[in-house]
Amino acid sequence: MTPTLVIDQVHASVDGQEILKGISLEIRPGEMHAIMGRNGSGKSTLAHVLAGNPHYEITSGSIRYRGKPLEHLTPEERAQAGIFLSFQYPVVIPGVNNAYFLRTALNAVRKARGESEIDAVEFLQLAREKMGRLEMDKSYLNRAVNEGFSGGEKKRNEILQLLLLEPAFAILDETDSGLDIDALRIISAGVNSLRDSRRSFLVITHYQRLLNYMQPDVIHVMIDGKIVKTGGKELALTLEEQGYSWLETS
Amino acid sequence: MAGNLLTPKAVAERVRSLPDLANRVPVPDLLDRIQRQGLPTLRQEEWRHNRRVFFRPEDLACPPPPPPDLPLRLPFRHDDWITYPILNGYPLSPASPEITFQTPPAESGAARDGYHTLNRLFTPGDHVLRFSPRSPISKVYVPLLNGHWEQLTCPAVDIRLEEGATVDLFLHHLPGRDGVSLRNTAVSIHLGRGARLRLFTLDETAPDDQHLTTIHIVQEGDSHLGWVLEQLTGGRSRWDLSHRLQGEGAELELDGLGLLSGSGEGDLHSVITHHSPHTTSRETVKNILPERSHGIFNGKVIVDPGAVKTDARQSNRNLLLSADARMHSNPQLEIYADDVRCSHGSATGQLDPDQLFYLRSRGLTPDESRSLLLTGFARDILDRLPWEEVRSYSESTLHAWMTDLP
Ligand SMILES: Nc1ncnc2c1ncn2[C@@H]1O[C@H](COP(=O)(O)OP(=O)(O)O)[C@@H](O)[C@H]1O
Ligand SMILES: [Mg+2]
Repeated sequence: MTPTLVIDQVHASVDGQEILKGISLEIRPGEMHAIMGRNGSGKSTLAHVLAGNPHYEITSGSIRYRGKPLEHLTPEERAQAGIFLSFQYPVVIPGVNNAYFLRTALNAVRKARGESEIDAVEFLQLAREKMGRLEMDKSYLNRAVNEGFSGGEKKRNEILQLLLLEPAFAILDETDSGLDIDALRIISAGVNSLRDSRRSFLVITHYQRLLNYMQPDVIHVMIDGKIVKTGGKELALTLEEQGYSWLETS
Repeated sequence: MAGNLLTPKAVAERVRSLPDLANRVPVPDLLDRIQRQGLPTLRQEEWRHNRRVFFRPEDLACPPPPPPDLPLRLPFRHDDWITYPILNGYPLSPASPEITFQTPPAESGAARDGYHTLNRLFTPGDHVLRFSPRSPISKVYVPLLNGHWEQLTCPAVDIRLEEGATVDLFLHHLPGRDGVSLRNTAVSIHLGRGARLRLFTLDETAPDDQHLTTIHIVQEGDSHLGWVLEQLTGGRSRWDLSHRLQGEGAELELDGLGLLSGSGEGDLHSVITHHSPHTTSRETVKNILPERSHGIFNGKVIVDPGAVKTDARQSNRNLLLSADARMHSNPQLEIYADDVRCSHGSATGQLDPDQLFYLRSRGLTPDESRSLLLTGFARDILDRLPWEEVRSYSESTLHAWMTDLP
């Protein structure tokens, strides 16, 4: 089966400064991979590179998504092809109604999948159902996108988008940070409900506690723009006990 | 070009070729006044950011009264609103107890500026809208338009709300459609004690149009003015507001939105004077500037001596959509009283790349993302419109404007 994502020796920079220094990674359908690493190691940079943020430049290496080169696709083409990024810092959009935004996003990907547009009434039903699962108050639909949302509320709104858009490949960038245990449990249940034999996930975190709620198949450790170690669940436990420093010398 | 400049001398010369005028107004007095006031030049502080002054001597003329059954194409119609169109400065509807057309026009002793006096000189008469609490009509739509006339028109509208009156008014400058629209409009508004006016002024200009509106507002005690001013301009639109809060408890809420296009110019010059204690003003002005457009916001707030407990807030925010667009923003406070609350702020920037990327990462095209962000930017201004039918009309103009963006 064609891998969902193959990253091959990717170097990437921001404002002329190299942040990713040769990343290679392969994620197959149905797999959940986790990337762990300290603040500043380049995890979000990788997430934005995958989502196509024009601010980040791939200077060498290649990325293939479901067998096709990804680099030349625009962010919206990637979204329409099933890539979804849950932002570490979701963006506030003043004056734009959240329900309207969510429906526009859903219709954009539905259109790309050859599905019919969903109208306001159908959308409301769907959104209510998903929000119920995330224990999210309906009032969030009537507010401006992320405006005045707490950190945790923003993260729920990201996962609401994940549940609505049902992407083929989801990148969750520190979705767990800023959440209390209850919220973490609820959000993880939402994410886990989407796991199946075809959908793939890349989960970025620097807390091992997330792994109590999600079960990644593979764990990678990123230090200074490189993946220095790859392993199974036991790697997370070792990191919990010993930290990252034992990896830095190697 | 110097020969084409509108100077007091050029006005006087032009007027000599228009003998009809002398039957209507005291021409020598008004020419004297223009001579004293002068007409603006780009060297003056209040005009130095404009690309040109308004009108040329050869634009000055006296439009004839419109034929009685001229077909009108009005873009806004709604059963709740009484429509009172003003064509080339003339009425088209018969007078009513609330609305009359007065000729000769009032001479108006208030010395505003040369353009205002020019209006006094050339206006065919004053449209006087007078409301009491017992007036049976409460919603009036006043479209101003030109018919088969490409020279200057000088409409004059005088709105008076007696003590306790409540009125909704939609004043709509239509753009030139079959030809260019040159309009030098004078508006005066007087709100008596406790009167409430909800006002929407929409100024639309097409590329060669020039609309200059001089508006003079006085609010007595406990009166309230909620005003949305929209400038939808591909030509030139300038509003000169002088506003006086002259009774305790008077309140002004002014929300401005400039949607520019092409090499259009949108200009709001406002002077808001807090003359009495416990008066409140809030002025929020936003502009969106694409292509080679040019925006000017000059907002002065004056707090007179003794106007304690004044609460004045002003903000101006502008979005530049192109490297060729320009915005001049100049908020000013002049405070001569103690114990007041005044704030002002101004910010001009571009569309936020993080917001654009966020929307695109959800599958929206750059155009869709931009439309959503622009609608979001304009939203809080349009939301101030208190009437559903007017709000949806205004939203349709916003969407048409966005569709035409390059
Ligand atoms: N948009 C940006 N502009 C400038 N520097 C950036 C930007 N994004 C990330 N960086 C820099 O890249 C490095 C990696 O950051 P990031 O990818 O956010 O790490 P992580 O997500 O692992 O905490 C940091 O040194 C950070 O300062
Ligand atoms: Mg990060």
